[in-house]
Amino acid sequence: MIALTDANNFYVSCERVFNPRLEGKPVVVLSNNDACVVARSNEVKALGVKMGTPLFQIRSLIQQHQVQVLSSNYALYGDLSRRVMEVLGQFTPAVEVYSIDEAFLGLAGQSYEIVAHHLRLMVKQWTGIPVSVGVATTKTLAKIANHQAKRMGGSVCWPIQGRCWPNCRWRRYGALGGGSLNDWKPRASPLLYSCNRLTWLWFGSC
Amino acid sequence: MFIVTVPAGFPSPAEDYAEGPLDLNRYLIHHPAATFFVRVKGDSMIGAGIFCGDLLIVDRALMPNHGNVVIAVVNGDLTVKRFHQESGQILLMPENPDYAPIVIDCNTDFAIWGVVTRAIHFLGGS
Repeated sequence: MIALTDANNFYVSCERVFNPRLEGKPVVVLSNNDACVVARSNEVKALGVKMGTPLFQIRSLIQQHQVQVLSSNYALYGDLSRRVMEVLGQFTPAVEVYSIDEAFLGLAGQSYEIVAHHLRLMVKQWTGIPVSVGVATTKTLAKIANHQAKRMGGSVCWPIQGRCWPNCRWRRYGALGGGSLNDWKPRASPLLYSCNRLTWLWFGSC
Repeated sequence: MFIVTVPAGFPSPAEDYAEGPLDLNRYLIHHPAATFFVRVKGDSMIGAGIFCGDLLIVDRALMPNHGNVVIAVVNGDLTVKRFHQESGQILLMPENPDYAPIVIDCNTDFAIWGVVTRAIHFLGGS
């Protein structure tokens, strides 16, 4: 099985580790030269602020909701990323670092529900960073499972053991819908935007 | 470390006993991924040998036990205190008579950030 671990709002989470006052408050982290929003806390996402929004466009929103605005500190994010990856390496030697806050893990022969659970607890305790975990049979499906885990705030494993695999598969893809596809795979969406369940199935086999 | 391989003189009797230099990171830090350095501000822990400006080694991998010095989050603020847990009651004890213990009740936003394992104190000399 393949697990994709992805840190939740990574840059914001990094800032919160050393400044716990930011916990529960709306926080954005800006790109170099404080131009655009590159990380948003859940509170800011709920306000409808999109990734990459220029700062000047949300000035009034920031005032109105007392949004904490931070310049990026990439040295800090890089250090915490290295720590997260080191902790993941304690679970399996098969760690493929995918981005600053994502890694694919090979979980051969392990009870992956339990591993996913422990992994989240341990990364949170050791580094202070909350991560979501999606487990599935392929990298692409692990990415989708992770997307679902993010929305539920935890870990999601496919297939759920003891259930009928093909049927569940249909239903799960149906539940994602075409619109949410944009959120997690923008470059694939022109191809798949008019997707029906067959395209989802094809995509899932990648 | 350089190991002699060409015998051009009397071989060093220490050659077979070569060891790497003492690495403080390895000696003092048992969980590198979970260990952070924290600079102390304030004097509430001088009785524990922790002074303003000292550097603390904090290990987040350790579970806090009664009597450990910890970094705690109390209502959003980081603080270093001694962790006391007796019959369900949690207290954060300062080690300076000028400060009062912090009582943790259900209204306190409280978490243990990490366990302090060492304090590095500058004694002058440079």
